[in-house]
Amino acid sequence: MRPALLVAGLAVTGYGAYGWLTHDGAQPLGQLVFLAVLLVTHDFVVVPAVILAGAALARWVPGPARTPVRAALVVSAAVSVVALPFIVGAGRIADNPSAFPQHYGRGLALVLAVVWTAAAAWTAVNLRRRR
Amino acid sequence: MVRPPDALTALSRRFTSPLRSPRLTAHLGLWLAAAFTVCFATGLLSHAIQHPPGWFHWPARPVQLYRITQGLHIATGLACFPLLTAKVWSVFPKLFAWPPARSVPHALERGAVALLSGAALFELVTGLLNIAYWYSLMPFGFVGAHYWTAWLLIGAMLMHLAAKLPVIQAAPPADRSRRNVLALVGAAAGVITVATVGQTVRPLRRLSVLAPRLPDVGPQGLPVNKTAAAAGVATVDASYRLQVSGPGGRHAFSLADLEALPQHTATLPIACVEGWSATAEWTGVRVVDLLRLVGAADLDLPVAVESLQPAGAYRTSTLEAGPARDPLTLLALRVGGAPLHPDHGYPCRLIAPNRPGVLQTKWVGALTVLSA
Ligand code: HEM
Repeated sequence: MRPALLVAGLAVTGYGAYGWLTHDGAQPLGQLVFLAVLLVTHDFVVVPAVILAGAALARWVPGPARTPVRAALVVSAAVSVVALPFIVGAGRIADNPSAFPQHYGRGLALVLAVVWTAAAAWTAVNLRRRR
Repeated sequence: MVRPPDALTALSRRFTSPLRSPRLTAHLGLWLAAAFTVCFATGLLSHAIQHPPGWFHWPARPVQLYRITQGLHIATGLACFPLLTAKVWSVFPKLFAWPPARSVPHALERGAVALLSGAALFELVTGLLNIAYWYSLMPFGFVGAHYWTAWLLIGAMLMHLAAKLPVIQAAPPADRSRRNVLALVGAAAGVITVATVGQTVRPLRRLSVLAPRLPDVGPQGLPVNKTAAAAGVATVDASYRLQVSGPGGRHAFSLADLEALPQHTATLPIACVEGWSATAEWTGVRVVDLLRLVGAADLDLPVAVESLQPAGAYRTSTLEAGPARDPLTLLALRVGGAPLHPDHGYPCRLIAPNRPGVLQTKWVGALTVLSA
């Protein structure tokens, strides 16, 4: 099983690398820079930020609120990433109002309001249980 | 070899979260592998439909199939953002392992991991930027780069699986605290899904406050990808003729001629490659009826559909022989009972079952029966 997976993996990667560099309209340098910037930003900025936020939370947020706040932070961050390009709206087209028809800043605020209300309710339940 | 400062190598010991464990990582990895497999399969399918190799034939039924596969592609991809970050978080201390490679296989293993993370981020971020039309951030053409990086991602994933299979097999079922982490990641993915999937699952439309499209917003209650103005199509006047040519001759139809032919109504979705879809009631002439007038109704030949738009990657499309003769394949003159809005393809557009939106050619000027 493992050798078969390895051989298949090498073959598919080789095929991909060849196409990646040579396809019609390939821009290997642009592609490589984009990939490298994403990798470095994600692994050495985003993930450490998540870890630091987790550490700060463990230190400063009191017990009953800790898990709810952690959950709300994770969900908020993930939804915000997906919402961001629509909030920035660089892709809006003046003569096509059906593309991106919503107010995405308000949409995100609404999602976050629901998430944090749920976190507050969860904290209240934890507090009541403790008493 | 130069050693990095101790502060850096000792760093990994300072990540003390008891939640990190091989079993948590194995679970997150399997979820991601499943999601990437779905994205890869549906993406390759979409590619094959748009650029069919000789052996590939895409049927006209089930009517909704492409709508589902491409909707799944986008929804699954968007749900991967929290999964991917959680996966890297779960192995973060290992990123600082020293020495970086103990042997050639170990170097290959780590190289595969770097390629896998990079390619996965590349696919998720380019996909998101594309559905947001934020092309200026990508210093390359989206479709080609997204397509080929998918092969790199799957290749790296197979190599990574080969390396980690023993760990995955040894991993016991998740215990309570790990299940909590998985539930949290699942909740984040779920919120993203609910906030966007209404672009294709109409009942969730009101909840999807972040959906890039709404199935009922646009001219005549339908979204538009390319407007007539953007496509460079001028307002069509009385001189308009649809040219239909085949082995039995050539016919030119004015709009009045088309309206005089038998009209048929079909309820069909526009299913965009970008993952949104909207169903409408289309009325017009069956393509097979037009083919009959040029002696091609019973021939096993494909049909080229050509737009009045002067240029663009989607100016023409090809209808395969079978789907061209499907009774649901229409040259639509009306939607919801009213003449097409210019942005929906006035005077007429192709609408066929189980077909990507980019191939539902608008502003049709000619149908040509091809020789093979
Ligand atoms: C957030 C995640 C993602 C989004 C929003 C997304 C979006 C898209 C879109 C809009 C297309 C259609 C391109 C077109 O025909 O114009 C596409 C095609 C494709 N996607 Fe993705 N994608 C995502 C993730 C992925 C992943 C993870 C993979 C691979 C495992 C993948 C593989 C493909 C492939 C192979 C195609 C076909 C490209 C072609 O037609 O040549 N995608 N994707």
